[in-house]
Amino acid sequence: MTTLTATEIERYARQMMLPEMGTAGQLKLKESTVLVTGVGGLGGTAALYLAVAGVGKLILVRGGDLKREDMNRQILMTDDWVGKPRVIKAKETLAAINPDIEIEAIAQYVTADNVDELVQSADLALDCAFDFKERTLLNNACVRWDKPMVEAAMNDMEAYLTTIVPGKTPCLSCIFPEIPEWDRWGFGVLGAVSGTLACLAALEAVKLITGLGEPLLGRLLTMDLARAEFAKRRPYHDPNCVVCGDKSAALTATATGATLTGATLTGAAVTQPSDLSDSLPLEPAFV
Amino acid sequence: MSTTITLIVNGETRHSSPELSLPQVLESFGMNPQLVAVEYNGEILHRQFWDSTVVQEGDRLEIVTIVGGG
Repeated sequence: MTTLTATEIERYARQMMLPEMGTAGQLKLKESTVLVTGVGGLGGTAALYLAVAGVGKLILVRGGDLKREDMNRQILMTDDWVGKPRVIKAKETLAAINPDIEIEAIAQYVTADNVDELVQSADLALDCAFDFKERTLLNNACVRWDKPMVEAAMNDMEAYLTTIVPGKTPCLSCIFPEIPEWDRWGFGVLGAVSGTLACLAALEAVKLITGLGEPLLGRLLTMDLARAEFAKRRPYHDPNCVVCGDKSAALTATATGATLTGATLTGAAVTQPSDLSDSLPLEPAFV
Repeated sequence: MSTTITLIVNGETRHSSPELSLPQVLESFGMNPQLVAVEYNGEILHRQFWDSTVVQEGDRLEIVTIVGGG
């Protein structure tokens, strides 16, 4: 049975004071493995908050070497590391901050060849990739292996965030069925913008793992950080989604105790999430 | 006679020609339909319904740019 050491109890004392966290929540964090893909301004900062929260194991995946132009946002890096592989430094920095967690650094991009093994080795994934190619690969693998995925993305001063539980919530393909042309270097980025999104993404993971609060399930949080405007929107859960449709239908059948009849599938077809009517579609989310 | 309909787009009043589909309205606003998601009267509208959606007087559109950076 997992227990907390005296050092860990001291380290996490302030967050264990949260009634919904407690020792039970802290143990859940310690027993969790979280995959972070795209360890840059977004993923690196998210990894920092997962590390200090005490997630037991982090798997950091990002190819390529650090550039000086990354330094305005990639806060795990140091100036003397320019030209060297990012994830190695990310691991070093995080281990210095929290030596009680395990960190695996994989200096690769997400590809069709490695994505299944990566996803299977984790309890949940944070999608912090810099393009839609990696995002699509990760979404599809998370649906395939039934792993929750926190989806966080940004451009200029805009960002969005949602938490995907395969079959239960819309997946990335339901939300954006047509992936637009995307130039991953074609936009400006402020560290405080990618960092704001990163903190919220890490918080989604902590909520999912511990049961604290309410994660953004079937909700898309959109942020216009130029105007500090936040809105929670309701994405469409497509029963015919090419990625998650089968899983959604199977879950609907299980939930109703019904077999996969035409009636059940019709039932699934109306899952514009009216069942999630607990909050108004345009209700601002102040965070 | 020329008529227009009034819409609320991202919280602001905008005018549009009547009888236009959602993609046509987006294009008339100078937007590329490929690059946005649209919350239509309170719910993000899946693309399969776009062409058959004729925008009506008083409709509320929240237009969100699809982003993918990290």
